[in-house]
Amino acid sequence: MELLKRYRIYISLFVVLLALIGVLNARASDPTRLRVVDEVLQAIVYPFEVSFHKVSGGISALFSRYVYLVNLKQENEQLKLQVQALQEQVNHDINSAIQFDVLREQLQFMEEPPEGKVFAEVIGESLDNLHQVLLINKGSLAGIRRNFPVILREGVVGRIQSVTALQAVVQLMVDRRHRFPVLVERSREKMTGRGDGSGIEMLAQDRGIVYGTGQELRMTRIRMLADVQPGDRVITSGLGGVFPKGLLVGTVTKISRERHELFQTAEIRPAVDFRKIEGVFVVVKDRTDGSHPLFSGP
Amino acid sequence: MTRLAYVGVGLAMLWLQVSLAPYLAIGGIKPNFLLLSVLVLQVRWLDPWAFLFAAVAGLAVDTFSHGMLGAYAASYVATAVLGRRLALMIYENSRPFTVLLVAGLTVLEGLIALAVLNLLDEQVPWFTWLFTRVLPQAAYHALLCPFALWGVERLERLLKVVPPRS
Repeated sequence: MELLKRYRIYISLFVVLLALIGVLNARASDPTRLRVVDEVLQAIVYPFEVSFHKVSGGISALFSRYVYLVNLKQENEQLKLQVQALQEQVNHDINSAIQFDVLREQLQFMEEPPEGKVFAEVIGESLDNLHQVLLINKGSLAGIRRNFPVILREGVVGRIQSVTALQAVVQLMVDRRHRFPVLVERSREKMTGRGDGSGIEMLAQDRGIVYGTGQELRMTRIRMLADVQPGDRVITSGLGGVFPKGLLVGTVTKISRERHELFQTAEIRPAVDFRKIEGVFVVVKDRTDGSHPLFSGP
Repeated sequence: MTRLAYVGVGLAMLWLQVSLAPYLAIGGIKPNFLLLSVLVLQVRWLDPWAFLFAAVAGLAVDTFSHGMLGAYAASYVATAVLGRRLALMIYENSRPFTVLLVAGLTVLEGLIALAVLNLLDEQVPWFTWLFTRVLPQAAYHALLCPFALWGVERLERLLKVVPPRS
């Protein structure tokens, strides 16, 4: 007994070790065995875990909320600056993406017929309120001459009004002085589709003269029996000697027919939004002056 | 020295007209800084050199609008001459009077310009343009005239110019 009493600590330790080895051996052979031991242990430990978590969490919060607040204001300002810089970067990237799309479309259009297009940026507009003109940054050095057609992928923009070596003035087609011959795309196609080739029908193609009103376009001299309806697309006829045939001018929005008149009149919404023009294409065919026709008719 | 001032003012107004005026358009109506400066300087200084300034300013507007040189130049000079006569007859050195005179002269210039453009076979829609372009621009110039006067007064102090009717 004296011996047990003297070595009780070592004996207890040995027993505990034996018990642990027994438990390990039992769990290793079958993990589901002795689940009761787990549950008992967890039930005993749980209150301590919770209380420790709360206390440690409280201490941690105390440090993070109050003690570490010393540099918070400075850090906040830095973060604000970073957010602002990132926002500017995002805005720049969005702008770049939009510009990329626009330029890609323009590049594709550049490779389409008619050939010989010169791209020019818009650098100004009319100084007065009575005329609709744009100033572009390409002139005679780029091969641009007076009366050359100015177009965009969307349709006709206008013609070159005057030109100097490094810049040119574009008269927009909505300018009151601008008049050019056009034809209605749908009715033309319909007549071609018939294929009967009767002279009367061929002569009766739905043509007209478009002139600018300052804000939009008006098409006049449309024969009374012409098949023109709202929604019809109007294209250049190629007869004026300025614009090549087939360029989109706009869409008919309204038809005016008076019984006592010889012709009908149509309001046309231009295909190009003139408020948003940043760059244009000038069709450069040769170096002749615009007083001579650049393109043949059909 | 005032001749140099005309050159400086002209270049500054041309630059403002090309770069700033499109952004100040209200309902499609832009202020005409060149015309405004012509009128204010003529009414303030009553200087014969203002006629030349008006002609050059008009030519600049001709170049960057319809392209027929001389139309606006003629209307600007005619308005400057009439403005000088009016100012000599009835000028009163007060801001409200100057504002009224500048607005009235803007309407006058608009009418002369429409007449000249009509002569040049532009088939001008008189009444439409008078009510939708000329009168709104005159109102716009009346609003901007106090600022233009302030600028001219600063210029007078800088150049030590004494206006004849001050």
